[in-house]
Amino acid sequence: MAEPNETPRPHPTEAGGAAGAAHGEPRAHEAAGRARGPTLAGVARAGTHPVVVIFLLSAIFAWLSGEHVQAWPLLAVAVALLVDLARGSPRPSAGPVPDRPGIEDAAGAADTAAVGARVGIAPAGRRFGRGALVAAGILVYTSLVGAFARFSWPATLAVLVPGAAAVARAWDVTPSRRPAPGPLAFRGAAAWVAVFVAFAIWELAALLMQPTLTTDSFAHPTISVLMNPILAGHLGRSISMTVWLLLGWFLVTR
Amino acid sequence: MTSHDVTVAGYLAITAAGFGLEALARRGRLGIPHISAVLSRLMQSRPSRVGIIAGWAWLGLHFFGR
Repeated sequence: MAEPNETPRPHPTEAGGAAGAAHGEPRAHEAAGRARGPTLAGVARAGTHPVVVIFLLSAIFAWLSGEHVQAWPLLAVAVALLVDLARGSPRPSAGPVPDRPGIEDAAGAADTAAVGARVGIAPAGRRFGRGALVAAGILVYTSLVGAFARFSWPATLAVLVPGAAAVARAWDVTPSRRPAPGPLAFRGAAAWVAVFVAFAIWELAALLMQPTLTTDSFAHPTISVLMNPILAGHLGRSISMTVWLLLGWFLVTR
Repeated sequence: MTSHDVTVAGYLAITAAGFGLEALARRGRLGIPHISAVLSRLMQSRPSRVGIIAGWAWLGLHFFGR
């Protein structure tokens, strides 16, 4: 993300910009930039973005599996990202762009609090209080919502509302106000990628080894099949949803 | 060992690998970053950020909703 004094990076639909967007590089300038209609070339380029491809394929798989209610939000996210990347719209800011002070500077620990205040990081005590409030709210919410029958419309809405709110926040918010993480070592990042890819492949293999996409298999259970006994009861659903919401809170606050 | 056992063992092995990586990260070994650092890095751009959050939302819909 560009510092305020840096020259803004080229518009994403200009040479190299789309490639940068396609590889997840943040755009530099704020809402003062131009928002243009998507061009055919822009749509084609955006259509090759990995996230767009993943969500389009997921929507197709969900539809083929009979999960039509899930397919539509997946498709909506894919289309929204496709249009956004094709337009090369500047990323709106939820507030002033924070600078990126190097807290590893020689100033020492005494300046950390000042640095934290400058970039809007709440003091530790306030963060703990807010975290406790969020956790309590999640517990109350999941205790109530866990009573809804699984796969019912009330349960669906109970998931859609926080899910949509989180996606909307992710769309609009600037990256975390914490100092930007430095570049990751290739080996370390590759190790994590390998774990997630392995999990995805294992799950996909189990899904494809089912008799059909809509028929569960005891011999090749997917995570959904393994979770069925846990999610059959109120307590299991409440606990699982608590874990899900806490994971969402963790992600939203990155 | 049945196919069911092999499948479950695979899930457990991959999960254990994830926990192992995080343990290595906490010890500062082998240059393995914390999962939070990986996610923070990934979520610097809108497509990745929205994709990860939307993936999380879909998980909830898949397990609890229709």
